[in-house]
Amino acid sequence: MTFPGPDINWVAFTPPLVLLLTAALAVLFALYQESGRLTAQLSLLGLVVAALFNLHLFQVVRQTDAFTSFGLRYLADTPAIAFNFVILIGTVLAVLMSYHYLERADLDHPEYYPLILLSACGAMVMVAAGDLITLLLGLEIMSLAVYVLSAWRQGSRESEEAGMKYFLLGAFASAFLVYGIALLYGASGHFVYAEIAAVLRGDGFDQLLLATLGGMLVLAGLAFKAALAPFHQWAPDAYTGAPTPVTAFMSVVVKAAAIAALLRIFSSVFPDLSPLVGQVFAVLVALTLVLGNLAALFQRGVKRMLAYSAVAHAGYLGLAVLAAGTVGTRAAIWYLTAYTLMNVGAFAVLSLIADRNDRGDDLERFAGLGRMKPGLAAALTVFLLSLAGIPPLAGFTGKILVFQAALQAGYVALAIIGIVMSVVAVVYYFRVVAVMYFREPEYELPAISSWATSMAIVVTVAGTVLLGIFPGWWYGLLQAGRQLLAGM
Amino acid sequence: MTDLISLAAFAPLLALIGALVNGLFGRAFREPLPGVIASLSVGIGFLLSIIAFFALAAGEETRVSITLWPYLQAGSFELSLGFALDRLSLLMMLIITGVGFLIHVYSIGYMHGDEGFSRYFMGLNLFVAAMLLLVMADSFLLMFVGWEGVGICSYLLIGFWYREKLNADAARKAFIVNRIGDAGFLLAMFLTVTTFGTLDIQAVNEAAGALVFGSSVLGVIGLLYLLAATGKSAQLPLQVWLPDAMAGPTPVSALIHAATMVTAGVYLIARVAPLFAQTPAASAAVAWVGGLTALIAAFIAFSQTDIKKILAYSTISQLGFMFVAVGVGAYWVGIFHVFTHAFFKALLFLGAGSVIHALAGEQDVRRMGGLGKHMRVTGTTSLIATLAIAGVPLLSGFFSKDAILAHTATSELIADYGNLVLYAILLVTAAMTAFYMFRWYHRVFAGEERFPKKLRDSLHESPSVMTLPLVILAVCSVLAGYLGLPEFAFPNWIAHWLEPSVETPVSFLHLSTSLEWLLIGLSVVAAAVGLGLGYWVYERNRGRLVARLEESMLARLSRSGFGFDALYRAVFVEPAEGTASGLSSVDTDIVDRGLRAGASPVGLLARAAALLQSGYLRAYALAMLIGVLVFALIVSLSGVLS
Amino acid sequence: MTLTVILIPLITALFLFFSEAADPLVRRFLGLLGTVSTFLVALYLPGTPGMSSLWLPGVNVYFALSPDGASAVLVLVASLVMIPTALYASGRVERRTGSFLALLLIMQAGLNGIFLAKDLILFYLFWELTLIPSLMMLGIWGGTKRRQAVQKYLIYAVTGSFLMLVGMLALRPLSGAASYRLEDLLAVTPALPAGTQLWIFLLFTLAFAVKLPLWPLHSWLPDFHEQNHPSGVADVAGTLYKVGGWGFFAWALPLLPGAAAVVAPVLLVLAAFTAVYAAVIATSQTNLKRLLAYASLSHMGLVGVGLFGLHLTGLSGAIYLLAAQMVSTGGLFLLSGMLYERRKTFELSEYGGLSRSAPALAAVTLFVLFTSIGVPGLANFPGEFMSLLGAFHASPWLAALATLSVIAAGVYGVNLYQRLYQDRETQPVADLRELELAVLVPILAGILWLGLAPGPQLERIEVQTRIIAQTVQPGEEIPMVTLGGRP
Repeated sequence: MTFPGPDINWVAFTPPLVLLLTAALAVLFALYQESGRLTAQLSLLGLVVAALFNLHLFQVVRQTDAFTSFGLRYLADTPAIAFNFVILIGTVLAVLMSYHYLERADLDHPEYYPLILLSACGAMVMVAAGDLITLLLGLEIMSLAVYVLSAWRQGSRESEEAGMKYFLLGAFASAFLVYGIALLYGASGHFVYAEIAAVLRGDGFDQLLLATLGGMLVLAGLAFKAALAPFHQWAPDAYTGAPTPVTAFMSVVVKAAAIAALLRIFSSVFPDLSPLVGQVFAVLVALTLVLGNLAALFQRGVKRMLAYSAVAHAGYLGLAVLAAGTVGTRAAIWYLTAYTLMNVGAFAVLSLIADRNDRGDDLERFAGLGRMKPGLAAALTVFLLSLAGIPPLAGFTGKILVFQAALQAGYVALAIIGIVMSVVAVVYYFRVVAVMYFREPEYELPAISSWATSMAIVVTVAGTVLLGIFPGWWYGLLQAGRQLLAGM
Repeated sequence: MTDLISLAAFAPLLALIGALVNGLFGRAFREPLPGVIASLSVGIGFLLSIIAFFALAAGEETRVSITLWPYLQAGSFELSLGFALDRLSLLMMLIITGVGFLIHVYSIGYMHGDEGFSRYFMGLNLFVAAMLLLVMADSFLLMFVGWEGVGICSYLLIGFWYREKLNADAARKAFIVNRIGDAGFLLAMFLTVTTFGTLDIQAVNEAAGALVFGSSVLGVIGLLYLLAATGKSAQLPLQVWLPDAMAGPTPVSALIHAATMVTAGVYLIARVAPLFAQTPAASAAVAWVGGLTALIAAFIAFSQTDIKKILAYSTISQLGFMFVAVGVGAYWVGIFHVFTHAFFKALLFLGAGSVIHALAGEQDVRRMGGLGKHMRVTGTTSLIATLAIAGVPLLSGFFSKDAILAHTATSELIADYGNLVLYAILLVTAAMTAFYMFRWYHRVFAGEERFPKKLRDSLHESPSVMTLPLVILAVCSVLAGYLGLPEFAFPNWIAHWLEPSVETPVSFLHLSTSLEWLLIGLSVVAAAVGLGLGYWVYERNRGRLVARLEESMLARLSRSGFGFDALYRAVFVEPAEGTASGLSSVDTDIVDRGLRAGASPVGLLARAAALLQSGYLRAYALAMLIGVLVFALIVSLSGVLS
Repeated sequence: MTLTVILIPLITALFLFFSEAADPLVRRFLGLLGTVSTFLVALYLPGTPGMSSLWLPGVNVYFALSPDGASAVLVLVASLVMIPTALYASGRVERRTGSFLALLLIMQAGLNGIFLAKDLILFYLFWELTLIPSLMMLGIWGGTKRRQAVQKYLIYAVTGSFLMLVGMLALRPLSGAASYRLEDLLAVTPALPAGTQLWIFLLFTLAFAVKLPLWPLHSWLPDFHEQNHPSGVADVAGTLYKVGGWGFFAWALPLLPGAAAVVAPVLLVLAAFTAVYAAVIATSQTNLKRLLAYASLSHMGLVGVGLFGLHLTGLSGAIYLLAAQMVSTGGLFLLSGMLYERRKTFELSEYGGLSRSAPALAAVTLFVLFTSIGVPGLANFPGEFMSLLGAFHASPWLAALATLSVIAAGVYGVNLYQRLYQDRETQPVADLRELELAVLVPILAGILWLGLAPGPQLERIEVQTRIIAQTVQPGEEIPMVTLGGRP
């Protein structure tokens, strides 16, 4: 009897490893610190190092071949590494946003940053997961940290409620996920996607119904993280109640991880299940598009509007997931890159306008912002227009890629629903722009200055605009290398 | 020779330059410089036209084409703007520049002291330029440029004294009514292009000649051109603008609304003579429109009291005669009447202008009378013109009108369409013309003096700058007719001259010489009856009969212009205005609201979607559970079904 | 070369955004510099080579621009109109002039992009790019009810264009075209099955009909114009922005000839109806701007009539009319701004008899009005004539119906002139000032240029017209129309 040694390819998970180590170091560090500044700086350093490793990995993967580790349980292919970039960018921006924010809001505890790093680390694991157990592992690492972060504002009812709702419902969703994994395992006898797919495809497989049900439950669990209807209802409340930088982080990183996981499952396991899965998912996407956009329409609070808009964007990403395996994956990565920049940017601007308790994000407060703070107003305009998909900003290109993917996959009706809902979206995004520029100032705004947040804004504006004008560069990189699918 | 003929092409340019100079710098000039510039530009144009005219007469060719520059482009081919100078267009040019020149000169005196002096001459020059374009054009398109151009100038000059709402209204009315005719012209052009593939007038004429006699598409084209012509020439049913157009300065009425622009319709039909000659139906329509217009306008002229309006209705009536002429196929006759009418009608208007000038703006003939003693030149020349239009033998009007009557009676083209009835109508109308013109002359120049006494001392003959044109026109009014003596017995220069330009296969019944003399006799009788009746009613009966008839229905009908204005107001104008404001509210209230209502479900759904977010944890969990249960249900159902 | 007509305005706009604190003369100079140099480049544009480079791999969107045929004509005319518009804006917009001018120039860049784009998605990009400046101009500098107008305009424009995007994006995968470039699409899309062509064409139509606009999708237009800045400058930009006709001409008709042949007759009815409907409504308007809005809507109906006749003559004429009305309608809106400056209202009842105190203003207004109502020899006529003639080939009755708008145009034209300049004289006003004269001279020059010598521009337009004529009626001989001249 031969016992196979552990097949560990350390290079493949250097980026999450760096984050893990940094987080551990930061926690140690935090023991001797009152302020979070040093941990923040340390975290930034760790993120940069992780990014460098990731970059190296990316170069290698593009030129040679993808890495795997633990058999096919951990996959570092082009999409995974590209997703890592999205996660890293989102995390860096969230750290930058938090830098002065925590002090200002009296929430400054050094443990904050390690938690963010841990969550990002979990997200990266999810992105690279090639089997259901790894997926669950990453998901829980990521989620537990985020549950804590969303309740970070102690003593605030909204924040605690947000954390509590997110945690309880998250547990509920995890239960579905675990049960789904069990069913899939029961039907196929495997956890690894490639092996499950091989069994499903094999002759004489008679457990399709069971496997399909398992797939559906996995779908429900991931749909919860991605905030797809009807598993999305936690999102608006959690996004609104959490401290703004956490909201930005959640709406970007968690979503990216969930979408990445969905994409991989959709391109490996699901094609061999009953076509029902795809159809059900299409319905979820449609529902998300409709509910997210419509509910955002009449929100008075800008933060809450952005929360719903984040739900809606999950729907657009879902369009790309439907075309997973072909152009869909690249479209989703591209979209998420753009979405990360513009969405975090919008929250960053918001954090400079709302008061220290994140209240006062009423539309009225934005009246005349174009006069009072032309720079902030211009930046927010760029983000909102990009979110609305107006050219030549990044969101526009993302929209083209996603819709092209959906149409190529034959989802014409879904594309039309998505586009009609985009019209609604333009209305609520543009309303903020209109209030900023078309009305006279009514409120005195707090004079908040934060170089860190400003830097985040500058970076995101530049990214949103440049990605929009020169979309080919990033897309070209995504095209290189290859994606690991079922069965290799 | 061709070069000399081509000189005429500069005539419209000269007028245009005159207009530009006056338009740009006129306000800086002192009187009478703008008038002199304008008169000179037209005068030189007249000289050029004369040179071209004699060159054409002396040369071999009957037609000279001058290409200006390429204009439109569609498909493989382009349309160039160009002039075609032939015998017809040169004759028209002579009328336009000749009579135009006289009226320009006259205007220097008439418009003396007006604050819009230079603006007036700019408009007049511009008009001459446009009118020349109209007659010189070699294609329908360029003709349309002139066609609309003269309409615009007419609009500008009718509303010359724009601060009076009535004048501005009159100008607007003229423009809009003309615009209806123009729409007809456009449609005619469209149909011409789709039928013949060209807008070149000569090419169309040639192609039309080759088409089947009486073809229906030709008939429709003809009717559309007729619609255009009725607009410009104030024929039924578009005659309503001309009486109002008298709001403009009187020389304008003389030039535009008597001698030139209003004859454009006749010119148009004569220009496409070969086309009309192929379609008896359209020709008959032209003739009947003309005949009825002539009759009705003459009837209306009976009771008018405005010195100019009487002349305006008379113009409409005379234009009706011309329409009959070109309708029955006697194209040269129509142009002949244009020619003679240009002199005596311009003269009548200028005479009227002289009177108005002398009476400080008075236009009501009831407050005139006996002016002949005070204004000898005006009175005498007006008398000549009156006799000419009345058809008194040996004066110009007699010859041209008699030619129309004779050709109507003998027309073979519209023989199926009641040409003899038309002849009778014209004969009656001729008598009526003599009658109302006698009335006009009598009410203004003869009889008792009804104007205010205080005007009597200041009453004076107009300055020579005004009377000289009167005299020249009077001479022409006498002599012009000798260019077209009855063909059967005398040399007829004008028919011969125009023959190459309006040559058609139309033929007329050949009558015996005695019958021809009989027709002439009938014409003479008609004029005599009219004049005699006028003499009896106004001189012997002193208008008592008229006073008694004043309240009769016929008199009222006549005074109201046959009720056309009221009718149109009720049938077209008010419904149109109602439609416009109705549509306007439909647009804002129904179309807009309807579309907004279409969007309102979105708002409702949005509120509903927001309501789904109750905030209760248990509700959210329930939603998730339901979602998963539905999943399970779908999967198990699919299992059951399969 | 081609890109410069987009880059120059964009770069100038960037400078203008930061010129708020500078001397007003600096802004005027910048505005003129940007627009005049764009115009000069545009003059040399015809015949220069285009550009094409891969912009978005994966979906194969190219950054392809080319100044061939009609594109160059529209760029040229729009650039001409932009000069007086920017000049007038620099003198009349009181608040945040720099930003206003900047938006105006961004608008110009987008417009030039729309006309020059030879890639479907790039075309869409510029199509949407222009939306924001026009919304901002309306929203920031507009009248008291601007927010409703903004909302309405936004919803109309965005609904149309977003749905069109679906159609556009579906076109390549369904047809299997190599890229979104016009030439690649043209090679395969005409062969798409009829049903596919139809639904894509209808999606296109939605966007183009909103922007054309066609009844009943026009109702944003009167509010849009009524609420825009009273200088009329934003309205000029809006006039240049009536690019729906261009969309049909450059994209929808040639790419989907099968559907075009089916839908065009219906659109022809709508267009003819729009032309008459709007002209009739214009006769009853009491607000100067609303009147002009409806008048311009009527012209757009005629553009549609020309397009949907699917005849060579009409297609060329429609594009020519599109160009010409930029000058004439633009001129009228600038004049409305000048009148507003004198009377502070657009209500026609407040005007009257101004001809006496402002004869030059009156003369210019009348001239431009006559242009607008299609007097021959002036800019609008050739296009109007050819549009109607083209439609006459397709349907004499509908063309005749549309021709009725000529009469209604006469009515509102002279009505307007009478109410402004004739009748009882109201308070005297100043005649044309130097700035205004400078603003109007290019307009008048443009009117004469386009009115007297349409030949060269029509020749350029026809290069593209032939493509449509050939795809819509393949095999059929292209009708040769002889409009006079001796063969």
